[in-house]
Amino acid sequence: MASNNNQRYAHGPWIGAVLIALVMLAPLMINDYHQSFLLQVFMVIALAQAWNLISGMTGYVSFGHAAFFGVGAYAGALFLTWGFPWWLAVMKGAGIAALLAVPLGFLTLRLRGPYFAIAMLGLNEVGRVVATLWVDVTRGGTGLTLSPELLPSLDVKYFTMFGLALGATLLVAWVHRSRFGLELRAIREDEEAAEMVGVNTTLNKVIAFVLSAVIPGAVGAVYVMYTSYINPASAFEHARNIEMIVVVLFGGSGTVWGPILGAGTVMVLRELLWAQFPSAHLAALGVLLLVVVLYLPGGLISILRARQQKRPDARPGESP
Amino acid sequence: MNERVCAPDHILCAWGLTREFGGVQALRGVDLHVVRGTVTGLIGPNGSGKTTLFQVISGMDRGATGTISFDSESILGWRPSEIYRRGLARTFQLSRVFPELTVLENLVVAGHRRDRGAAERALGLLERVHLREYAAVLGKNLSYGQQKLVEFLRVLMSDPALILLDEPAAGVNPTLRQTLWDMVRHLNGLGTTFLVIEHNMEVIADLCSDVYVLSDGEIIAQGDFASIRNNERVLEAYFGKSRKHGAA
Repeated sequence: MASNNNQRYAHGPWIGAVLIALVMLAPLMINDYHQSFLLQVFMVIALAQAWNLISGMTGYVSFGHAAFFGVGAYAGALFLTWGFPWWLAVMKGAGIAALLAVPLGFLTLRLRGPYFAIAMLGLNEVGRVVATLWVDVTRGGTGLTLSPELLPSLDVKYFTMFGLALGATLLVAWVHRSRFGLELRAIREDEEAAEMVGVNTTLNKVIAFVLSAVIPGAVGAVYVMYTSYINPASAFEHARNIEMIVVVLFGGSGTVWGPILGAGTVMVLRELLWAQFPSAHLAALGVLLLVVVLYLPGGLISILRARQQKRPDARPGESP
Repeated sequence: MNERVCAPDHILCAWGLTREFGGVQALRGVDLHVVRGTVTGLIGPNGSGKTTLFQVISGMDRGATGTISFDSESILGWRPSEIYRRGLARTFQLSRVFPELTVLENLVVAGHRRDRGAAERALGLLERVHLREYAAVLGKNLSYGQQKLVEFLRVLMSDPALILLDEPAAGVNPTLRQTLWDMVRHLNGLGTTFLVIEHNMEVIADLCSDVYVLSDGEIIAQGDFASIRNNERVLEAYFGKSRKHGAA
């Protein structure tokens, strides 16, 4: 199995190293607009990898991961206004999302299929309502505005968001190759049979769920420093849930490179379509996504997979 | 607290196992004792409760009442994964390999977490049944018979003391079937205990030193195959009252 995995990921580190070098040099070569665009790409990659960790790996489709983003965003904003340094505010955002995920995981992961998806959707709504009603802390629908002197520079936010995207990707890559990941994939395939061969399905699912909540928590905290404003609608935006799902399905669910490929492609297409068709770009993007999901159920990564399996030295079942 | 104690030579004892589904009694006070190092048969007409009994013993169904002792531990109510790690493994009536995992991954996931040599052990098991060349093939791409064999090998990854086999040869071609039964004989020779649900009476007669007959959720007979084949209640359960006088 090890040699098989080595073959699978033979080009991965090289591609990764080139991408990292480009990202590090980019702020020297591009303007603020493009740097902001890249920051948003990193954000979508990190969120997609987080969703991939629970939904792509275990098959438990979450429609409410934006809740952890929202919690992290509010935590980040509040801790920043209370005088904490920005990096500590980000860590607090991640930590509070994780603390929330532990009991929620034990409660919701008993449910399967659409019931889990709906429960998570409900969680997102609960988050939005709490943020709206808890006026003393969140200022309700008015939202929280962060004063500019509290905020780190664009470069800091850019590299932090990149670090989160990289960290989330490395986490997914490690999980994918680890015994833990193998157990998660067994759960996705047949949870009862997995339990029957010694996999503690509850514990594995909860660990994956908590890990997948930490990332959006931290991303939310950085995002609020990027926008300098947060309100219940933007923190717990349902479109963000859809975006995570679409990006992962577009790139390839349950894979390491799929969310990166999906995020890059969707974000670039969105940008191009927005420039060309300002009034119809979302519809055009929707049609494109529909085509990919219908005709490439394994996502864009499945094209690479098919190419790899056509190689003369490819072994049956081998995939990128 | 039930104070019943399993005899030292018994690896599995069950007393008074009862399972109801909405007023229907699938198991009615089942008592079962499996002697260590034997192959014990569990037979009975379709719908008699055999698979339900396996579900209850293996922890998949935790809604039963009664007592189950496995290797001196009371296991009723335990999670299936805990029971598996304690040394009791089972296969399913219909193959349940993990379709999107490779054959090798299907086996490795069933090994102990700290077993660093799990992949080597898995390849060794595949070699024994001439499936090593399929190690990188996805489970879904195997024939049904191969899937059943892989499922059997999968439970061997934890070196279980007791294996429950639920119709392991159903739908398997004669060559693979022979391979399977040869493996059972070999492992039994090494000390592994088996409890087997099987409809092929030749296999039961050949392999099993002790046979339990389940009918309508009750154990109606127990003993060696020669004794149960002429048992009136067994004949009646299998062939009905009209067969009662002519069959024996």
